[in-house]
Amino acid sequence: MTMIVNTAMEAYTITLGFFLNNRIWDLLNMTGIAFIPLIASIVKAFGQASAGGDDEGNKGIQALKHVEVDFMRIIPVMILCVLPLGPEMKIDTINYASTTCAEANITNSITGGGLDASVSMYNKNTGYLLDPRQGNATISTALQRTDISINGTAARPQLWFGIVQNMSTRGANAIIATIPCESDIVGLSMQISSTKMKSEDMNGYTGEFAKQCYIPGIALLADKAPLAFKEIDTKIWVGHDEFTSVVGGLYDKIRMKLSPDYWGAMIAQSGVGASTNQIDQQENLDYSKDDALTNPTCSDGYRVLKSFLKRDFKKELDDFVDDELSDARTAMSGSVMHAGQTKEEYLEYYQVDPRHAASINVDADKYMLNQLIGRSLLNEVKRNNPGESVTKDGDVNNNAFDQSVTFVGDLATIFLSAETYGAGLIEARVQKLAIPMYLLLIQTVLFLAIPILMVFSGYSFGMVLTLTVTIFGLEFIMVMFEIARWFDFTLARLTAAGWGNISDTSTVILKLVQLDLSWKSYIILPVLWATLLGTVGFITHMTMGGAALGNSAGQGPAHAAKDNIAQAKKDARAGVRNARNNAKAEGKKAVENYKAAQGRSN
Amino acid sequence: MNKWVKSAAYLGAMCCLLLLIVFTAVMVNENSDFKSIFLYIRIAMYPISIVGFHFYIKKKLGEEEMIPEVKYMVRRLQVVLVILFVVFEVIQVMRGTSL
Repeated sequence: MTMIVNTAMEAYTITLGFFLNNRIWDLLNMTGIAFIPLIASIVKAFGQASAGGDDEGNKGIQALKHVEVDFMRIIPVMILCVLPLGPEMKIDTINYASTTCAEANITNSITGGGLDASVSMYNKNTGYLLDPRQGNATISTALQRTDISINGTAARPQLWFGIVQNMSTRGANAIIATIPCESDIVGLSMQISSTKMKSEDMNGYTGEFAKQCYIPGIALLADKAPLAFKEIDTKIWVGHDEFTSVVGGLYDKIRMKLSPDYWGAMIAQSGVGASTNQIDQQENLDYSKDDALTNPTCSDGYRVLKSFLKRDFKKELDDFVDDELSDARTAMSGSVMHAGQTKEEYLEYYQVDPRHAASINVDADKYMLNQLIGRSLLNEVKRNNPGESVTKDGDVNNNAFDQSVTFVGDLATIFLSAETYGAGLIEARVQKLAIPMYLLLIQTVLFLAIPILMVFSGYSFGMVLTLTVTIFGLEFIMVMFEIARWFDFTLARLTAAGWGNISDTSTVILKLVQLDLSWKSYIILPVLWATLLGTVGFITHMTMGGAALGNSAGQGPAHAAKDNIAQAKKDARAGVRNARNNAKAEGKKAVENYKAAQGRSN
Repeated sequence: MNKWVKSAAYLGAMCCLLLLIVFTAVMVNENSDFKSIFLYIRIAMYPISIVGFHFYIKKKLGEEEMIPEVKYMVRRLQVVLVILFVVFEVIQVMRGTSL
């Protein structure tokens, strides 16, 4: 039977667990430690027989019967639960079931080129948005790497524990398959934010620029005239002429406050210092040594930002231009050749020459910078201010952005909130990915410990049962994760209009609470499950007198009770025997007395 | 025996067992010759344990209790042990060792 795994990582961890398990077993077997329980069983049987009463018959027979019973237990347990006789864990015998909603990202990363050192197992950009049931369910590439073998020996599970693991996974999958997949709104939000920056220096600098130049720039712009909704993308983008024009540009009127070292480093790192149109660093060092700050204009600041953009997003910018060119060519391909135009001219101008196609309005910088700074925030403003409003000129706008410019004053707060929100989002995201991996590591440790536990327990049925329940319980935690995931996504969908929405601090706090709840449910639900299972085990243990689970804690009272019963039986038997003997003696005595009395009377 | 003494003895035995495992692991890891040494020890251990089983019982029971029925059961168990050991070695050879 092929071994089913639920995640790509599980393929590695289970294989590794059983591989180490086999090595430990080989060690125990090689050194003869594996046979110590057999010797212990013989010694114990003879010890018990020696302690028994004389009325129990031949001690040798009693002891050997015990030994035989022990062997009848030990040999099947060894064959089924200790010797690694299951199928080899190789690419042909492990199958991947993409049952969980979380697996879409893995499937995606696999179909996108396989798992290797350069590909993250969890593709952050795909999020959980796909229904994995539609995805490619093979992970052959991933499983190539599970072919762990040394001296040609591949990992093999114990027959019984392999079956238990496999059936537990299948059982858990059957339950998981009934849980509907929800879209991961939080993941989508993360996806947006994850495309924000590529480097730490640009990330920090963009934040500074937005706080010191862009937000004050918008505020100045809003003072001049009401800003209309439709202008958001065109007029209020971060590099618009209103801000950047050589004459009257708002960025010339605003100055940043930065430490000279930081400013110099930003110029150097962005590469703007090396361009033909260099920023004269000295010119901007308008500061005194007391305050240790320099005041470059936001125009220069913007040039540094653009330089960063070109450094970090060159490929995206090129792709964007290429896409636009392609669209333009497609649009032009339907055009008709004018009279008097040669075919060559027609082809040159409308079909193939990118120079002409490039003349269309392709503003990749604007697109990218809007993505990076302005648009996500301003979209929030749009989203949060629906409806109509009246401008100061009495015109009716179909939006309330002009009113919401007061909101610009709060943007700095929002940036701070966004930072906290981002951190919360990242933590929740990381925990949600990491916690299921902890489970896999725990499973690995359990599998590798099986031979040691079995030998220490003297190949007891109790230990087999304990391990069986533990393997099932751990695998079933996958169901708990899926419920937590479903709960998380559903709650996010029901309570949030949009997870990119970070309009005010209270909203951010509310969402942080929800994020906190969502990832902690990945801990609470498994703990609850483990507690319930443990309680059931404890009750079973108590009601069955420790016989079921067979650990030393339960065996003490159980054995004591058993010994008491045995002693009581012995006492009872002895009592009956004594009573019989006494009765016999009394009877005999009575008969003798009678006979003696008869003799005397005669 | 007092249950605390029993528990302590059990724990001590487990610790010794663990130490033995660690010790042998270190030995095998540091010198591959130990693998063959352990093989010889194990192969030698099988007949010794089977014969030792017989003598242990004889000593434990005494001549008067070694009735034919006991002898028959001892033989039976010895056969089981032989089969068990042979099966172990056959499985080990078929599987190969990962050490």
